Amino acid sequence: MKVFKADEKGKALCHRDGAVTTTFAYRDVPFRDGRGIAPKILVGVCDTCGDAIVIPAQSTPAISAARQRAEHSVEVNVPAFYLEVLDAAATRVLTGATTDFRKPLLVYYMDRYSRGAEKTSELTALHKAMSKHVLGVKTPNRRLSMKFTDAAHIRFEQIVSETKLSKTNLIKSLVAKIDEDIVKPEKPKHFDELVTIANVLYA
Amino acid sequence: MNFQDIKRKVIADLLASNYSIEARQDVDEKNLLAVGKISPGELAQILKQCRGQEHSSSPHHKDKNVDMHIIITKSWYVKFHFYSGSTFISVHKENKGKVLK
Repeated sequence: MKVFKADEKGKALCHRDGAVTTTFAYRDVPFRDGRGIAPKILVGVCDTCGDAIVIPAQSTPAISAARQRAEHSVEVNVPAFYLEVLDAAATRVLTGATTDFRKPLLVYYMDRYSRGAEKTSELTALHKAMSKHVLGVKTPNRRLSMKFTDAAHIRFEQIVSETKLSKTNLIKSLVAKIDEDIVKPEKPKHFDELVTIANVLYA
Repeated sequence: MNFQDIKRKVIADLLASNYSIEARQDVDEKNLLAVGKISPGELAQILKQCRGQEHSSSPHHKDKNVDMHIIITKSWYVKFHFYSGSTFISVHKENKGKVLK
């Protein structure tokens, strides 16, 4: 295995300039989807345009670690009923809604609670009321898996800490809120905002 | 180089960690080799089993003297070229002919 060092020269095909020489240097390299950066990784920099164009094999563990930090997985097992409520809410907002809209809906409400637009103190009661409603209903459990950015994950953890709810129960509480706000009312709350979000996401 | 030679070379470079990832100012997080979601050893195993009909090549858009190789096998989309003594490679998942990028 060839191990590269800073200032070492190399050759590569640049996406702008074709065949070029490169110089290895430490750079902060962002992820293409804008979710996080891989900080100070050794890359080959195009001597013509200055872009980072080569990532040597030795830099991939640092990239992998940076990506894991940027992606927080939240996985919960909940009765299928909760996901059906989320999907029902999605159909009220979006024509041709898919299960992809579950996460935006939950994140929308996480955001409202974390910035104080809703009172977190109501979440425990909402959870209890809906649990009672589901109690005794035969429904299989389903896994809900979401990836959060650092910022979204901080908001999620903030609400967990304020409410002392488990992650699963917090998700259930948010679904109960969505049920109250979007599924049950004749006219869903925050309708215009949610339609805009849906239209932007699915443009 | 015929297909067997190409396959032998890319596998040898993967196993020797003599490979690099092409970047465009940023890291493509869907390049599974770049973010460590597949190891070079696992990829080498997948490529060992691929067949000639799963391989195609065309001139690199920035240098016609360099062949860009594509192997699509078992839902893996592997793209690579040999340059300056190393293999430049990307690995994506492929679904029904659509590369998940």
